[in-house]
Amino acid sequence: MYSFFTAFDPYLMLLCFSGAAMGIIWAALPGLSTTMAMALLVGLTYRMPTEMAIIFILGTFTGSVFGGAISAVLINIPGTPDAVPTQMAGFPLAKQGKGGLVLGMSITASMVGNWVGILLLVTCVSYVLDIALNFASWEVALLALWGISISGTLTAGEAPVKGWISGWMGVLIAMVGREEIHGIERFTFGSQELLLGIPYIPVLIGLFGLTEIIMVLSQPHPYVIPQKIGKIFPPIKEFLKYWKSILRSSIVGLITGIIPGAGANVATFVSYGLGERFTGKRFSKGSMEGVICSEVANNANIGGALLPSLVLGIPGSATVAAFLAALNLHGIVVGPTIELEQPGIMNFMYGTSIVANIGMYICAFLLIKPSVKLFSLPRELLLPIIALLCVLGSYAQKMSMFDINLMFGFGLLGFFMRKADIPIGPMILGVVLGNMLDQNFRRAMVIFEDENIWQVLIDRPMGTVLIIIVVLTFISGIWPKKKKKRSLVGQDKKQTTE
Amino acid sequence: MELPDQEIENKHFRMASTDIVSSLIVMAVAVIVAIWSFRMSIPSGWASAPGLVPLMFAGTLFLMGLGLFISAVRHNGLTILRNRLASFSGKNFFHDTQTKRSLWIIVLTGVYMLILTGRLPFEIAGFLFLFSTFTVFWKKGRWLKIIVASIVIPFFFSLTFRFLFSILLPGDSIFDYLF
Repeated sequence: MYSFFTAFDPYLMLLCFSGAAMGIIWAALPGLSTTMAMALLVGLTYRMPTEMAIIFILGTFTGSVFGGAISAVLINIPGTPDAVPTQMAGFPLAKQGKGGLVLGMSITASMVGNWVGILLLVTCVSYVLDIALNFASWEVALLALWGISISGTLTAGEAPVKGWISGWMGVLIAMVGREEIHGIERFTFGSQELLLGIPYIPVLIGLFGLTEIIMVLSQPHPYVIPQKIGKIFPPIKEFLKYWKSILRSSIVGLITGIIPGAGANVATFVSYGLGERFTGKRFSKGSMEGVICSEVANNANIGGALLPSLVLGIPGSATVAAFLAALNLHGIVVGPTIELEQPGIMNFMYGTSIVANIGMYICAFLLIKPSVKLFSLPRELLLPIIALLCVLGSYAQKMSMFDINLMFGFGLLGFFMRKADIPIGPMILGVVLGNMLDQNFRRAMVIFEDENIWQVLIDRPMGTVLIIIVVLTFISGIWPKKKKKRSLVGQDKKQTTE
Repeated sequence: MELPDQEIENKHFRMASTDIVSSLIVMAVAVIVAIWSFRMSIPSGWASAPGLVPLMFAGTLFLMGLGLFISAVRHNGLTILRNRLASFSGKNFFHDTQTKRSLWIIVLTGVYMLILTGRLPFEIAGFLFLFSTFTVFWKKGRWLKIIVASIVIPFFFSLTFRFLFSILLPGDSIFDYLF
């Protein structure tokens, strides 16, 4: 029988810490995703007793969720798609020599996000599940649409249409392959490799990794990240100044975590977008608050994603699916009977989450200095090495040379997009969420086939709210352009004066 | 000093000709995707048709492309594009340092990723790529440093990924051939 305190056994804690350290290092390497870390390290736990395996895997999970922020902040290449908002807000500050402090702030934000996630998880289980159960195909499709459109609005600056174009192209890329409702091939042109669709890992590595390599090395004098780290522990007062953003982002992270399929990708963009809207600041010029919004949501998402996975057996994301596979490997059956079949397991999971969170915090701070030192090497030396990692990362998932070719193709596409001032972030979100949007939308259309539109709007209030939000996102991107421009100009002037 | 709102306006004008080209490409892609989506088979009505979502997204993508095109035209994009094309000189283009460096890195990564990887053992392909890239771009690196780094790094990655994480490498590892 498991208990809450089993997780605090010193040996288990050590194992959890080593899992967290491995997760951080893995996800900090561009292109090596959280899911891949989970999938690979699950193999290492095969011979371990169950509680050791669980604590090690959860440590890896927690560590790797944060790890993506390191390369995002220091080399402008997000390790995972959900680290894109952290990259947007954190990289400009790293260029100013605040890389250590930004990472310190994001570690603290990650830890707080985790704590709030765990706390809300333990106390609000039933309420949160009620919200999640109201999300059927229609609402999930709309949520995905909102995620893509808000990322377009956020990343494109004064021309949101370019961000939406990028996101829409991403959705169309996700349509390639055999669709899952009727099994019909779409846009495969007879290619066997395209039958399974275009995986998002090579797209992510190409768009961010290779594009950054080409962009930076084409400069006669590439930028330098200062080696001097300065202080890394953020002043508590400064951190607490952002308590509203922390609370808001925690709730966003938790709720999006619970909704199957939405995951951390939507959470970070939505939280970042809401942060900009509520504070009236533009985070993309470099902002600690932007980093906090993204990292808190990202980590609060873990608790949210674990809840439906364990209690209902519905994995919230691919990473959580890998976690469930690991539990299955050790004979743990998730679902409504989890507590009956493994008494005390939920309490053990809560305890493990706390230990993993502490482990992530300690390991991440220990790894800041070496990371900054490593990533502040001259770009001409560092980026070709990253190119090798790009090849390894693209190949590792499916052992396919085709994925390396894809990565190269998307690298070139990203290069031209950046030259044309079209943001690449929304495209990756479109690729990640496209299939989910497609399947859920068509399922909803079949369900609503015989209903009239007003009935649907009344019967599904959550969906109606989401429609309004999506429409408002588009309107806010197009309509008050002048007003927004004026306020941003005011902000720019203020920032210049400061 | 120029005002930021003036800068934003200037940026719009600077990008206007590029936006014309981008928007035309976007609209062309949207039309092609829409036609393909429309021609897809419809097994049980449009509600669940495989072409439904691509068709909807292609349609709205076309409108977005059109919006970008109109905005670029309003910022004199067509005139700027015409002037840029008229003053384009291939000689100047290839003499520009940034263009030359971009082409170098694209060619080097292209040769490494599309030709060498998978055909040569990972370490050898990695060595050839790193050696050539460091030679071209790392001006402060001395020969000895370049050679040592080009050899050590691929071997380090190979040992870590092949033996620690048991991941197969593209083109296999030298160690797979040796042992």
